[in-house]
Amino acid sequence: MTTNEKETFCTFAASLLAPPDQGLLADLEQQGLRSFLTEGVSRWGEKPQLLTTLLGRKGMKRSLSALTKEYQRLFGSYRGKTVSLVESTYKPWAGDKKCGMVFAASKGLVMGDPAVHLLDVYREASLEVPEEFRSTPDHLILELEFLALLYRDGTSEQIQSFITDHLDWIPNLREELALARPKPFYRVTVELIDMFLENEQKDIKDTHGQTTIH
Amino acid sequence: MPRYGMVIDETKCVGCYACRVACQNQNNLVATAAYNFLDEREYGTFPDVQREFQPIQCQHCDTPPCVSVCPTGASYKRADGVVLVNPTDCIGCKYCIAACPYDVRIINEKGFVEKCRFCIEFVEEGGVPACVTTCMTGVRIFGDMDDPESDISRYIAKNRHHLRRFKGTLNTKPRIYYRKA
Amino acid sequence: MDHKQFTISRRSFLKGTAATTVALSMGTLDFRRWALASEQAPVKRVPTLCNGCGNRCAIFAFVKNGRIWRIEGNKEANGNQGVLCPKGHGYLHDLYNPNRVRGPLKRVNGRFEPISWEQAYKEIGQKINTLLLDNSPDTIFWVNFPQPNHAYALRLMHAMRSPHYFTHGSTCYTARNAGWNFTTGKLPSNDLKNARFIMIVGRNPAAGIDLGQVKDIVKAREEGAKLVVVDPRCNETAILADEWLPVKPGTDLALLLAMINVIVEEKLYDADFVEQHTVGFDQLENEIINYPPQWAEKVCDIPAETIARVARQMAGEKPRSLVHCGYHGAFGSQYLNSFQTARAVAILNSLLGNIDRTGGVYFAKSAELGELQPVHPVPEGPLVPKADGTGMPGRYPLGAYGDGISHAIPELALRGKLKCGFVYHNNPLRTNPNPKRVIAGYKKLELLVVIDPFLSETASIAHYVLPAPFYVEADEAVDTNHSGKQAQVTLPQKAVEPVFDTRSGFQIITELGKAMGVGRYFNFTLEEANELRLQPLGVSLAELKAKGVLPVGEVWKQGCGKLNTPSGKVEIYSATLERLGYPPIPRWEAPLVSPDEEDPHSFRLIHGKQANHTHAMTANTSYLMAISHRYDLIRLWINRARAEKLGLDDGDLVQITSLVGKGKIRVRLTEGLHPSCVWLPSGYGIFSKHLTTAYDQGVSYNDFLPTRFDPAVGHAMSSEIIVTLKKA
Repeated sequence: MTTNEKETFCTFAASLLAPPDQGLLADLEQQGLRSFLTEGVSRWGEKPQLLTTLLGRKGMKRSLSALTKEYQRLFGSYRGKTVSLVESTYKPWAGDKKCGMVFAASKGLVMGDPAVHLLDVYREASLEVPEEFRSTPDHLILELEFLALLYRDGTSEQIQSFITDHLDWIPNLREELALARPKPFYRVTVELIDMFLENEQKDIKDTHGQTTIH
Repeated sequence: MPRYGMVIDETKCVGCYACRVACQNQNNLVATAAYNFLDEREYGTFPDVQREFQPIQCQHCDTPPCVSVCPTGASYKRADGVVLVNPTDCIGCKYCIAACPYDVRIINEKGFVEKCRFCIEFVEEGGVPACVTTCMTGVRIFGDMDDPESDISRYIAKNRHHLRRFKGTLNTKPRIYYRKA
Repeated sequence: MDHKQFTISRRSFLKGTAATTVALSMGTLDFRRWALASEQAPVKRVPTLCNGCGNRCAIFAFVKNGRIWRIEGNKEANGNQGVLCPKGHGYLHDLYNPNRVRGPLKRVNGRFEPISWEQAYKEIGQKINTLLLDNSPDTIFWVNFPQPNHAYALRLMHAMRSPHYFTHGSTCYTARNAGWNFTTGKLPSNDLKNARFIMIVGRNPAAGIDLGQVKDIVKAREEGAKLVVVDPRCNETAILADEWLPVKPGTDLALLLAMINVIVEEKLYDADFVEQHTVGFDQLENEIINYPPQWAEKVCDIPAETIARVARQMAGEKPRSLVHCGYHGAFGSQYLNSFQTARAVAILNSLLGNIDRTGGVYFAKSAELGELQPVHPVPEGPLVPKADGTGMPGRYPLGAYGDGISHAIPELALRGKLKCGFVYHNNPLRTNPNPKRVIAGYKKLELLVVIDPFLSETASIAHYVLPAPFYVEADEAVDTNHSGKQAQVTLPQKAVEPVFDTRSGFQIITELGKAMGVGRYFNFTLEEANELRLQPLGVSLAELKAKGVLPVGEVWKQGCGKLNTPSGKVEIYSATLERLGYPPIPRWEAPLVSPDEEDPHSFRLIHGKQANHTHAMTANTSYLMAISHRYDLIRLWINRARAEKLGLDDGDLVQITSLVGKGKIRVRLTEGLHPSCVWLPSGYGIFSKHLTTAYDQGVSYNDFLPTRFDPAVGHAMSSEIIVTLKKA
């Protein structure tokens, strides 16, 4: 994938994780998207068949209400136990040993170190966190959007650093999601993100290897 | 050099668990992990009954079985009396957990053994262990047992006959002394 | 054109002004470098109040990088004297719990949907106005666990011309308060630290934690004071005691009457005090001869000689001798005889001559806050009295009008007397008797607005949920909770920015006022209101903000003066009670219900607190719930001999059934419990699925408690429960 394509992938992946709407369903119908993803998946050494569940067979009508229902069941608020898309909840809350709160080492909380870090990062990059993400600036949607921005005009060092620091929890998300027995759409969405990042990690290692040889 | 020790006045413990949570605070422990424990007992038959909570934590033994069984030397005894585990040397073999007669060692998420450390880093900065300061009834006294002027030394001088070591017959020589009813 | 061309219709959430990521320094972007730098950030210290229970201990909240960092007790506060309990340490975990209510919610077709504050207010206001077209203003109510800003909630109800402001009191303490009010005119505090002899009946400050009281008891004990604990259960305070008297539940009154009998018959009372400061001692002498210890022994299961010995010991130390004024246990709101029990406690204390004396019970100095008028007008107030009948002859004349009878709300709703309600910092669906009935009542309301940080049971059925902040997230009204030998004012202050889209209780109340068309009574800011209320106390808001706790007014001096009773004295004999048709001198009154002594399965169900939980509020906190699991605390206590008769082993599951409910719970076999009862820790039995840590763990005594109203006070009589137990 070109850097440009990586940017597009991240933007697209972020849009998949937002509450579904008609726009998304229309997006998924596009032949261009199908070709783009098929090529990507093949390049990662995976079978493109897995895209069928995401994109549907040609001409298949997807129900927005069913997708919305599934989204709410998996990720919605006020529904008891749901799957978190927030980085902080997968990591200990504070790494600073001097933190005297009992929950410093606890997982499952918002506004952990990753969130506080990203607030600083966004501030420096003059990016505004919308009100609905006030306590979750490290939501996967925002992280993917930020990564897209880095592909657009960041350095490879910045990209590498961001992926390593902030997108290392996607395997945990996959596990959490599996426990919720998701329908294929969101399972594949998270799998795609995971594959993409895994390949990027590999690329990072390769590049890193080359730099050391130099 | 100070030689630290602790007195636990069991007659004052009402089992509120504040020491557990304060310790979790100080040591950044997850909700299910703890370095101190309460053993609750009941004596007698109705209506002549007594309840008792024994606070239990690492006894910082002077002849610590955990140190002698440790294959890598990760468990060690410091000159100031404190028993610690060096995480870089610990291989998580759990020999020490089996050898400790007080059942106070736990294995953490990273796979090495941890337990009460008398909040030693905090103490070296002039602090007092978290379990001591949080207690509403003042169950614990902590300090330098070599300093005759310390609170703990004065307490021991006055109450020597009421103090016992936990599982004293094992000859582990704990640095924690219990006051029993 | 590239065959891979496609569009993405959704706009990104992250909004930037320009392409600026290039300007990002690696010092910021690299997490490790950032983390190291952020460790050097300054730490700010904000004095504020804990809200892990009603004691509202004074604390310092430390803040670093905008997040809560550490909590410490404030030594200046009378109530906690610098220490913290497990809840003080643990409850803040939920500050960052993603399951909190993140913004205002509206229930649409049984599901919650986000709504803006402004829209929510608008709809609530409009709905109330429509309701008031067909209904009188007194169909609106507000119920809360008292908070620093409850004065504004009361103001809101009065502005709407409704009398219906309620506290949780009828399920907690109204019988105790009434007993004291009718005897000494006011509820006193306990000078435990200076006492030589302390008897505590039912109250358990070591687990229903009162840090200051426990510290004072320990201090008194170190000075040689004797402590006697009267409780059907060998409770946690009993661990510190010289003696535990395992009274048969519901018969504390018999024990107290017998002690009074001994003290009167043997002339061990403070004759001067009785002469100068009491009325009705002669009538007491005539009545009390009916209650010798030999009689009491048969009723309360404490041996006659023990009763006489303890009474003599108690009298021997007078006036530095006291019977604890009580709280919930034994006579707060427990039994049909709780009012008379509280009266007996008050009378026994006065016989010791200890009223307003060092080492006795004393009227704590409390700060008299100023009023908002004349700067801001007082609402005209209600046109009719409360529909629950508190304070009304013929209904519940001894009830506390200020508290009301909040567990009557479901009944009043079912009868159409209440149509619309606000529930703030309270969860009646879980903490009121007989949940089926409570749910039916609250569901009947045409509008239910719940103000809570979580989707509690009650919030779960609300039409609107307005998210309340956690205590360290909001500035609130000045508070006077820490009364003692000198009055103190305290201030709940914001330490961190709200994690979610929440607003302070004060803000919500005043904004509701505006939305409901009574904004003219709420034309002030918190700052202005706090300043007005502090004015008469001679302290400034700035100073209070800096210190968190300030002493105000004179220090208490001993000496019993004129009391706030009709006679100005301790009313051993109460003419008021006689006029209202109640016994003017306490006399023995049996509990309303008693277990069947012939049936091995029949027990009285009593309850109490464990140190790691408050009501139903903390059960969802993982650190506190982890203690319950690790130490197997979610069990029903049962006397070992009785359990063995039922073939029960420690840890066995039992089926527990009462008139109104059934459930299953594991048992703890103990010698430390009166055989006639089983004891259930309160705070469990959470049934809101949104509280994922606490959901479906254990049961609550409320599941088994029929809806009842004490005929004089109207309290819930929460230990008048007979249950049958069977191995499950």
